[in-house]
Amino acid sequence: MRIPRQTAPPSSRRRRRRLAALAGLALLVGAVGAGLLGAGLDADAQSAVTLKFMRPGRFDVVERVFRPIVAEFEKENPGIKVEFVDMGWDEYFKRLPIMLSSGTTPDVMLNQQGGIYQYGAENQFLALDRFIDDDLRKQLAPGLLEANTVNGHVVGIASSVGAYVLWYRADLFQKAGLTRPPESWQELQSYAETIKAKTGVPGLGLHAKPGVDLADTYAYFYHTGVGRPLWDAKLNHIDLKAPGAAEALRFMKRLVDSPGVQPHVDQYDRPALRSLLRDGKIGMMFDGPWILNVIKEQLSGANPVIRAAQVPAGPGGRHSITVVDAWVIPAHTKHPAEAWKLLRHLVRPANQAAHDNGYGSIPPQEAVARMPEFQAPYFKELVAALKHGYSSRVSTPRYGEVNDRLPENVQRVLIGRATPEQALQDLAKQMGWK
Amino acid sequence: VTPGAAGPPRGVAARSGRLQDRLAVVAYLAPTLVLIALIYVAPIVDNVRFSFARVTLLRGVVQWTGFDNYERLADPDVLAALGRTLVWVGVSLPVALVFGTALALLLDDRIPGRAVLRTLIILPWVFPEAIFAVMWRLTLHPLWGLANNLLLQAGAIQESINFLSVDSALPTVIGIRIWRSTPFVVLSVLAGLQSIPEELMQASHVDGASLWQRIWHIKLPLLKPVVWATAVILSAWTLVIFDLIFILTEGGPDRATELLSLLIYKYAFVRQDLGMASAASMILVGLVGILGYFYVRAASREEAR
Repeated sequence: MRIPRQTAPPSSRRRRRRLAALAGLALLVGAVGAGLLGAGLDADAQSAVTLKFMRPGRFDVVERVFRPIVAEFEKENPGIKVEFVDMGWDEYFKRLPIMLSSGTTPDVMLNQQGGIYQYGAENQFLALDRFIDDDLRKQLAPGLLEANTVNGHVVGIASSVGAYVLWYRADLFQKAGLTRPPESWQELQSYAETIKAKTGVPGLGLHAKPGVDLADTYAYFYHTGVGRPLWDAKLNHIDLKAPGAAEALRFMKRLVDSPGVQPHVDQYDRPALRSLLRDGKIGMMFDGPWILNVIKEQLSGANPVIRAAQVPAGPGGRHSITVVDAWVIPAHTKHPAEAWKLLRHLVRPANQAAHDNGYGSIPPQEAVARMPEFQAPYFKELVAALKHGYSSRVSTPRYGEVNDRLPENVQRVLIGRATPEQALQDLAKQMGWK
Repeated sequence: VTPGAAGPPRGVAARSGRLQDRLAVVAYLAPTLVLIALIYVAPIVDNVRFSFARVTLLRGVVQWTGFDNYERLADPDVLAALGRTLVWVGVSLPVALVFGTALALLLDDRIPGRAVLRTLIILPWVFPEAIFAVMWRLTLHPLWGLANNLLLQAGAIQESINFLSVDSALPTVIGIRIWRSTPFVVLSVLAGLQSIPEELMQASHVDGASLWQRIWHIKLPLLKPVVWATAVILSAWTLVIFDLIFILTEGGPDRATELLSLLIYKYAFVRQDLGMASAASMILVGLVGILGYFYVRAASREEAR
């Protein structure tokens, strides 16, 4: 049944019309007001540049170290706001190519050394030559600008530097009757076996889980076995036919098979060994300053339990590995000048010192290296290691692939699945190296 | 419409109504269909496109290479990974099915502590895959793992065991997968058991059927469609599993646990060879597609009954 439409009285209709007109007016005023307000807000937003900043790693440490530095920067530059991006190293390695390709990379970020070449060669980072001032050039230790130069352009400013040293437990050395750190490969093995025999604790910790860490450790044995850097710039690949290349692997395997090394090396990576050293469950291990946060307590005092020494020499001499991570500005940033301002602020000596202190890295600036907080004996060993170290990172756009296949083949040797010669031949074949 | 009133013939009106109904159905479904196309179909189309090209994450399609990537699928690494994947599914699936069905049949009976047992059995399914994998990694570690420490303390072993060594890693992860997937089978079969008519079971009692006869001749035949659907779903899931293996072994040692899903990840994100990753993905797409076909067919047959 249809309900007849009721006709409203004229007064009511007028009232409704008036109400509708008022509502329309209110909407119009609201829209115009909101537009004006929005325009005002936009104008504010335009005057303030927001930069995204990322230092991969544990975010609590990032905040502890960088919040005060960034607060000071924002105070000095009222037109620039800085947003922190929280990302661990693992996530960073996985997401960086995607972020770069989608243009979502933070405006200023720390980049791992291998990535400098891998992505720098693809023009993913801003060339910084035009920004770098003489003061900064003088501040940086020699070679660090070159380490971040790709295709003739500086694309990164070194800020987190590491080198391998031999960390050892003085208490276990004493129990085993050892009075000084090992000087050669042969001593390294005999020390490891002596510690095991005298204390029951494996003398040396080795790791064989594939990954960049294993590539680093092989690089140390390669450097000391061959006497040259892992990456041969002339050949544009690793010289796997160099006599010391196979010898380095053979010696690593000999160590793994000796009673002086902890069993099941394939189940350990470098971070796992750090806790073993801290807890006195191994006597020695190779690592850079990245271990410092784990063994801080054992390094303190006049007679520290854990000490650092130069890496033992091999047939090719004594050569550590060096790793230089650097601040970069992705090429797609919309605010290159502001991003540089922030980057420059981050590498002021006081801020660089805070960064090095927070993460235990070797100061890349000589002025910082002279500060009192970097005068502990282990820091002196780390700085000395830089002098004879070669870069362990390969300078190729195929960085990811090399760091996948190289450790895999090293592991094959260490767990007895291939001879050193076979593994190196396979690696050359996989990579297409002659 | 008043009978005899002027208007279109009855058949035409009915056809027009049906057409309108269909259009309305399409209109209602259109937003969902568009979403599905965007979320599911577009990536598959992209994957097919990429499989015929050299693609990097940074530069996108660099060069069209025809069937080169597919020819590279004959690489021993890919074939070995495919073989491992088939072993991974081929062993874990039947064991989980048999074990899960047996447990479900047991839990269907009124045994003491049934509720507690059901909860315990379902627990592995409740944990997120990543947490589950980390838990196992810690449990199996040769030095600080619970498994080795318990065995050492009990005197069962003199030296710690490497459960994830090159020889034992694949059997170990398959065992963990079985443990993980069994609760799903238990849940599915228990749901299937609920649908068996009570009268049928009572009648079998009256007829004097033994427990074994009831299971073998009544329950299992009636559970066949449920078990079949569970098997198809579980095998599709198992085929594409990535996180469990990635966290536990990263495919090692010496690739002993490198399944096709892990190799695809390596191609795409480590070696930056998206073209090859896409071509290798097509193998999984094909296998899951075949399983999907069987699943849909089984479901249709069940519906037809």
